[in-house]
Amino acid sequence: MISKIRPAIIEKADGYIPLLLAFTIITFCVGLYFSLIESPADYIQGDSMRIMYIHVPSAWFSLMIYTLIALSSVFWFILRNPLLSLAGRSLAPIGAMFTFLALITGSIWGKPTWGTWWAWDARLTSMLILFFLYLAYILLWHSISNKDNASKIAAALGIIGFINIPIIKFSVDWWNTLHQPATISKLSTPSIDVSMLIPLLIMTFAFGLFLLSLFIIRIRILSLELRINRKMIY
Amino acid sequence: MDYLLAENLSCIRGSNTVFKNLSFKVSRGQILHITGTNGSGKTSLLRMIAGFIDPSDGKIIPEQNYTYKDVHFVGQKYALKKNLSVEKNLSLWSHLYQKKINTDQILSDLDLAQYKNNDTEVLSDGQKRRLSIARLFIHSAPIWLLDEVHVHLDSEWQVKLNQYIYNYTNEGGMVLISSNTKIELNSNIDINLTHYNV
Amino acid sequence: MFKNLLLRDLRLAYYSSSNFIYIGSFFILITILIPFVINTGTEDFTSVFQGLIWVGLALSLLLALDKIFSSDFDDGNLDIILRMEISYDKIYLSKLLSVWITYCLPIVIIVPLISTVFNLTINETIFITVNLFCGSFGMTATAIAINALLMGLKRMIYLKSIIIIPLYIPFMIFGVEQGSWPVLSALSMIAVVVASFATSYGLRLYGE
Repeated sequence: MISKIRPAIIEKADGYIPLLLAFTIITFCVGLYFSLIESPADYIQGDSMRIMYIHVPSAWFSLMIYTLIALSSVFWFILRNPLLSLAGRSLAPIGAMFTFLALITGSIWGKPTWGTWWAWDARLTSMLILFFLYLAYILLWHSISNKDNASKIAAALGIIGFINIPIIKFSVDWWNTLHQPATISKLSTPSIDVSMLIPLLIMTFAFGLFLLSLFIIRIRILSLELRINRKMIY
Repeated sequence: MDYLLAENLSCIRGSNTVFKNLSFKVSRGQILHITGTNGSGKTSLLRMIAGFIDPSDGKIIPEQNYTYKDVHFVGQKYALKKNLSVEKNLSLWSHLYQKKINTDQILSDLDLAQYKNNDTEVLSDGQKRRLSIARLFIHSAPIWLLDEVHVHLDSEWQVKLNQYIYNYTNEGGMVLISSNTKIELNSNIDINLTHYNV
Repeated sequence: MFKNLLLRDLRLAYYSSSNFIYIGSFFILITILIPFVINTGTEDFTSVFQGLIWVGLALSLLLALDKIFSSDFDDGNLDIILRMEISYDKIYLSKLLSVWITYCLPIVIIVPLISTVFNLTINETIFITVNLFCGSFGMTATAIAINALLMGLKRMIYLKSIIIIPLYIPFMIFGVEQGSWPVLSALSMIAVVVASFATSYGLRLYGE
């Protein structure tokens, strides 16, 4: 019934954190060099489109992280390994951060492109709702003091939220086509030039490394916290 | 159902083992008295037998022909709506238990007749406890699971409650009762859960 | 047994302050805020009224959160309910009906009655009422499921609302569109099915 956390995996990963962080910083430097200096400016939007190299990876990862939370919830139901609920719990703030970053950069990008900080564009709106889904998940963990119970409830909520993402996306898209004039240009161009694709991929990779290092640090902290709490109580 | 058998029961909450290797057998007409310090798992054990918690290890026999309806769980909570009158509370219970009840009869048995139209909020804890054990007479089941029901009762009513329990076991009922203070109850089997704690 | 639980819940709602008069007055008061906060033409009135209907419905359900399972959990009545000879799915269905009748039905009835005040045409009145009917089941199911999972957290309406409101957005979006009742029914069906699993999971968790 009760499965022990295997701290060995986490402790082994612990030694690699500095290495991982160094690698992350180097990749970021290379990515930023390519996206800010090496790549050409967009012929319509000019230099302002360079924020895409931050915006697009964070938007991708914000969705991916919620998928990971949902997956860890599903597997938690099957395996009941506390490590999986710790994974969901440590991923959530990172995902919320990426979503927030995507919202902020989207808004900054919107100012020169649309002439306004915020438009009720389908993507931005769904992102905003996604942010609140993250927030709900985080607050849930926060408000239940018994973490054993919290992991059971959070797993269910993770799945419910994930089922809702496509539904929300669908309805927001539908609402947007109905209520918004079609003059607003889409944030991403349908075909992307190779000279822009390379920096985008490097930046995505850098974001991925960043996510991985944050994740390992957080899950390490949470697992230690859990062990301390259990020692204190029992 | 003639007996209730527990084999090597264990209870694990979170990563904490509350009790383990608990075995006992209760037959019809017997009283099992569970004692133990705070947190020794008395409530957990009763909730396990009531089917709210699955045993972490071991089993409770009979598992098959033992349905929810066979147990009557009266816990530490009174199951009273505090801003409704005593009468309305009884009528809500009668819906849940699917029984027609004689409110006046029950209330006079419990010495609560004058509170019939009062909100249960104004009752003292002892009176609320008396009202909550009224459930034992609304619904009949072969097993009573009583979780610290002597708390708040004065000595006169503790004796009365014991008398109810004896009457019930004489008619072939089975009672599992827990308490953390000393009560004068002639039980057939005594279990001190503290001995099974880890 | 199903019928008994349903009747008991309705009776409890009737006894306590959740009967038709309370929910109805609450809803009407929400909608008559419009003339006070909007002072433009009647066309705005109509569209704001249609939106506010859904906000009123959501508020009525959100304020009810502490009464679905939570109060029974707190005072110990849930122990009795869970030991009745009734499956968790039936408990869920009975809750779905009783919560819907208590908190949504008054609104579904009142909307056609007060819609003339806000210059809705007969057609508009019919579509919004049909939409309300189709969508409110899904919204009720969502509220029940989240509350079954979180019934241990009493007086945490804000947390529960933060969790529930994002799930209500699709209902709101389609709720104000004419002729979208098939989509609303589909959404409701998904919600009712998903909520049935979540609710029985929550009820099982409660025992532990």
